Amino acid sequence: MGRDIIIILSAFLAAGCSALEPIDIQKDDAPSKVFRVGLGEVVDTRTYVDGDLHHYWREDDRVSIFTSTLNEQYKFDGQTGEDSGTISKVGSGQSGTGSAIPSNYAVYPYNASTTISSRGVVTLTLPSTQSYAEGTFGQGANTMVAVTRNSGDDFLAFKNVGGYIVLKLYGGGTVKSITISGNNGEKIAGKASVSISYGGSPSVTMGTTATETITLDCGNGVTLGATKDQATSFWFSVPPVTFSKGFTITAVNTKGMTMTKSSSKSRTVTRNVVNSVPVKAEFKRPVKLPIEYVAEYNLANAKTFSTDHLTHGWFMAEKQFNYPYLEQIKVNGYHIPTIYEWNGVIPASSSNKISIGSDVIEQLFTSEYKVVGEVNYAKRFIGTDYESAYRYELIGGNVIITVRYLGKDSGVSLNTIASETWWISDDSDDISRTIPAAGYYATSSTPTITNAGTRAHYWSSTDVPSSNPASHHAASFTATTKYDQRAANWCRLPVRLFED
Amino acid sequence: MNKKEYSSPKVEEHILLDVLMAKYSSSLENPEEGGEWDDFD
Repeated sequence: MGRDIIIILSAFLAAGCSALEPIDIQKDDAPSKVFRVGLGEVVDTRTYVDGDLHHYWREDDRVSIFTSTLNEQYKFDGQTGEDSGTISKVGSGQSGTGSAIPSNYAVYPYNASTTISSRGVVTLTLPSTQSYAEGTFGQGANTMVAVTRNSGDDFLAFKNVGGYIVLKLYGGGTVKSITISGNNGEKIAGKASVSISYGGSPSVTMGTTATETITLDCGNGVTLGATKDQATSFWFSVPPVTFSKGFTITAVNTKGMTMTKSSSKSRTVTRNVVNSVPVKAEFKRPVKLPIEYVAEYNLANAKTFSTDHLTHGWFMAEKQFNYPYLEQIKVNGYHIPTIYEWNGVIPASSSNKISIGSDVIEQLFTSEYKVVGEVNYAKRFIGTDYESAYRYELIGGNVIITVRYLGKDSGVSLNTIASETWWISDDSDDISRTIPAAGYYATSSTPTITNAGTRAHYWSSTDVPSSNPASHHAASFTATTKYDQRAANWCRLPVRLFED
Repeated sequence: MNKKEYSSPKVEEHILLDVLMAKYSSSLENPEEGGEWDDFD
């Protein structure tokens, strides 16, 4: 009956419904029928399951219906929370000439790009990005198909095309996105062909252009429960597949930190079956930040660290007394940094080359600074994996450097960073170092310490080639300013080591 | 065919009523619990 009605309705619409014209209501009249209708757009749609895996419609859900090879948009007539009901046509559907197909077919969600062959094989796109929804799959993530007994039948028993992996994450933090992929290049998103026969289950064949990852977009972030019992569920709709070498998940939190976990165990996603996977969230920065290389304390002498920020040794550039040359000082896996390593930590400008650990060698990075009162705020390493917010402040004779990791292309503005409110909230992963602004010790006839409590001067291992070999570049800075200082051997400076 | 075949007003009304009620009925499949994978636990 349904097919007859569609033919009638289409003809009415073609005629502008102005009058009842003679219409051939015989359904076996011709091998192809003309449907004169407009093309619909992709509509977000969203059936859902509850905690007992009962599957429900939402009001106004949209479905593609094929009574021929033409794709027509229908909508669920009932209310949210109903598991059955009627669906009726929306608008005037797709224009063109459709070929006959053996039965009536339906594909959920509606998508104007979904097609069907004259043999009833559906070609559709399985989403590579799915939206997070609390306790269920996201909008339009769960693809379903239905087929009637014959072209005269109007009952559509929708069958889920894929299975479900539900990651149950716990341990705190706020997740921005999660990506899942097989370890053997399995295709799980993109173009696919779906076949279904009346009374049977759908089978899926991924297309040659199909892709290997599914990303769950968590919008502004989804907060994780603290314990396993309080875990937060993240639903992935996945086409039936065997991950023959296991699978990998990568999660990104709102701080730009990532968590990657991989299993080599073969796992099969079965159609219509939900498998849950508990995961303890352990987010890490993808790179080691410059501030993390900086030792906690100055050197007390050439062999040991100080244990506070009040006492430290005064070093000369060349070998003096029982001190070795600066370049030779190494303590427990730490060394004297080059001036380029210092530039990654102190308020250097964008024109200063920076070196980070042993991986990044003297290159320029983009940074922005903003001084508000006595505090210097910065967004540094912009557009790189090192992108971070910096806060510099001189407190009690120490330059306090605090770094909050942002992650590449974080979108966090300098104005946001220059707000104390932003720094007070959620600071558990901030990294801080205290650098005494100890001044310098002039070894003249009347030894004096200059700039004590106001400016920091620290040796680097970078010498000044054109001058006395004993002359080295020094990292000389306050909270708001960096000075280009080349210090000779007439002064003594403290030393802060960086990790190798 | 021509319009004379639908000369009875009752026939026309019957066909129009069918058009306005064009619908399919539907049901949804409930997923099944498949257990826990301990890969990352």
